[in-house]
Amino acid sequence: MNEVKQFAPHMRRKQSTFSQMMEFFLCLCVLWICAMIFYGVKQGTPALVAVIINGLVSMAFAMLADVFTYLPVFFYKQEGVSPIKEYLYKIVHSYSFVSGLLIALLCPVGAVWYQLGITAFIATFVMKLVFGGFGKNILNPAVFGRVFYQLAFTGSLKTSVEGSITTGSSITSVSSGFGTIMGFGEGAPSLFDLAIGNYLGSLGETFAIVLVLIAIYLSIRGIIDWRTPVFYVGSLYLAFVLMFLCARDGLYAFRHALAYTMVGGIVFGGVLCLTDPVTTPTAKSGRVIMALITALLTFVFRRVVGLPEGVAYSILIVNVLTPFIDKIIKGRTRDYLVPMIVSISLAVVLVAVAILNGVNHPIDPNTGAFIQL
Amino acid sequence: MSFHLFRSSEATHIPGKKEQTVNQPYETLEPEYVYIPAVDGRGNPLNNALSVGVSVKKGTLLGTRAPDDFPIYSSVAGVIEDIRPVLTASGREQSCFVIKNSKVDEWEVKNPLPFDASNEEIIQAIKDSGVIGFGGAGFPTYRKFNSGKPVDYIIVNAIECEPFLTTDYIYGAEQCDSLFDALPYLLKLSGAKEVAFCTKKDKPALIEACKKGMEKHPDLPVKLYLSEDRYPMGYERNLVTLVTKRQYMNIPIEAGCIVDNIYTLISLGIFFKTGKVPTLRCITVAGEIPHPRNVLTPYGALASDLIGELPQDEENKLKYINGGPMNGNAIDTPSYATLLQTNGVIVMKKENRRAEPCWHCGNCCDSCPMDLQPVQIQMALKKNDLQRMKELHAERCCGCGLCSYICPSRIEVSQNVMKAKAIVLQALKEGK
Repeated sequence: MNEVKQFAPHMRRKQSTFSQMMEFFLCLCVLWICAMIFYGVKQGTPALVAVIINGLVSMAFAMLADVFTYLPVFFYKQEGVSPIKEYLYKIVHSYSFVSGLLIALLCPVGAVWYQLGITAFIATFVMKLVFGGFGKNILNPAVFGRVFYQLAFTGSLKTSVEGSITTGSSITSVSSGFGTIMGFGEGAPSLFDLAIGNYLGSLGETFAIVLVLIAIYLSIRGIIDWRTPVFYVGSLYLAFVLMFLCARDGLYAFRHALAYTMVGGIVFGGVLCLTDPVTTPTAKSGRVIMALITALLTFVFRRVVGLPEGVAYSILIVNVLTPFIDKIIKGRTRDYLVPMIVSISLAVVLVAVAILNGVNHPIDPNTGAFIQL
Repeated sequence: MSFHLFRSSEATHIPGKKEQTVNQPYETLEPEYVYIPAVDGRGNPLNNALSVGVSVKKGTLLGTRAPDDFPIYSSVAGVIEDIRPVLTASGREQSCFVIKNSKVDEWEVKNPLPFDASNEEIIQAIKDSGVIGFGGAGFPTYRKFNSGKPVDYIIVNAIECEPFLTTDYIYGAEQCDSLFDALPYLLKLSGAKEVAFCTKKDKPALIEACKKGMEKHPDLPVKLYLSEDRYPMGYERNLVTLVTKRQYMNIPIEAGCIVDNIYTLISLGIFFKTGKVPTLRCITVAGEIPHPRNVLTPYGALASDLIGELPQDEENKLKYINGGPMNGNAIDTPSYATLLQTNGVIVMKKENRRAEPCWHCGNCCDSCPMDLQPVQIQMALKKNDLQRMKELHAERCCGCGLCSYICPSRIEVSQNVMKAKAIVLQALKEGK
């Protein structure tokens, strides 16, 4: 290797981007294994095979995009650098397998492997490599892939391998399709089932307790910023509590809000998608602002617009806002007047939206369902 | 992981790596030759410099630095054999006095300072002592006391937060009495109300020495401050905040504080009492070498003499760091002359780091002791956006190097921020 100029400091900490990415990847693998166990027990061998195949194919196709994109390495040779080594380095250090596995975990078990492969390829190529590779993308490739899948292969988003018992993506849309209330009411899983993940949904998003443990681990290791999941999930929970209280739900509001938060992709999105450093503001204050905006958007998508999920869309929208959030945080990190004002106003807006929504959609005491006004 | 909601965490811990030398007493060394720069920092020759062939004693005036007649003394007794360019610890070739060491203990001693010396006499004595900031910066000490501004605190900096270095710990603990010899004069001169002795919690010998000194001199208003083990605690801004909770813009005197390294004050104490100018320097020699140790040596010795048995380095894979590894500059060869402010020679392996793209993890913003946003400054520098660099207060960077240390992508963040700082300072100067 050619010699590089040796700058101070001459010591660097042990953690590198590679090691951080690997730890993140291992956490995803934990979720993957959880999904294997759950679907293997619940739906038998075909579902288990589907979970494994989906994950592997998704990773492979995501890396295939790198394999094609970095071919020019062979034509522009550098002095003293072996092109094959360089090529492999570029493919591995593009970390596409991470977003590939994320896409697989974001889709339910009924997703067809080749469709997932196409999605992973397109998401990696369009969303990451076109922008210049790792670290330069504007949107989160995994979330983009999930939305792409939803739009392109809507029929395949089912929560079981064989048959077509339901159309729609996860428990949220399943139950809204039946006209029941999301996450609670008749036929909905109990709070305990929601916590341990004993219900059908996207592969990774159902295991709430595992996700919380992963969030704690990654925060302690400094790989994700705890502010993002805490402010995102926490403010959404409080907003739901307010909404249920205003919907005359009484003390059930806290329990229902908890179920409402755990069901669907809120925890998964908050812990593993929204925290992607590439597409989040760099300052801590920016991350708080971003989490609050995402919470507001998710609330609006779920309760006002009436989409079944809304997490993916809100993450994509807030990713676009990231450079703007970076820009308004001027000065030093101890100048927190502007971020404070922005965060408080966002929180006020969220509270207002939650209260209005709750007042407008009270709960029928007999059926336990929202009365649509 | 930190719990400040918006602010930087200010709790970055870096491995101390002091165990190599911390338990050994220092050794003494008499080199054959010493090399003392015959020019000032800008390359102008000294005034009234001695010429080749003159025999000198320890403490003989070799010449004075141009603007303020700051004296440069010989560190050994012997003969000036030559004046020629020599690679010094600054990383450049400077014209140096080459003095052959006769290894005799002959001194040219100045008069000790009387107890009832006037302020002018004390200032003159501090200047005559030739004492500079021994923490590594080399700023002439008398200028700190010569500002004419009111002083509330004299802060003794015994933190030594750089990894590997143990000179202040070993030498400072032993010579702590001299520190207390210097304090009465300095208190009288500055009018300070308190002397704050700052050290880290994990330095028992220094704490012990300070407590002993406080018992011996109950009339002196010395107070012991213990800091957490974090980097860069020894940066004077952090010390001022630790002691006084005050903030300031440029130099500590604005907050009514004078911050001096413990080694500097010990040298002053020795000079006040005996009239001997500082010629000896305790230097930590550590890293990838067979015998890491602290060496007490006349300043100007070659680094290769200090290291002693040189490690095997056939492929030129080692670098020799002047100072601590967080701030020191790396030099390719060990045959360079140490300066008066050199406090460490650390031998490390050269690293071939390959930087990955920045992925905006924000760890640098989290760890910055000045609460800056290095990654944003770096982005502004790439776009050459002066307005944004000003907005982000790039001029406040203290150059501690933590952002580069912490960066998981191995980007030279600190270098980029320092470039931005230079640009902003230039713009501010031209603007005024």
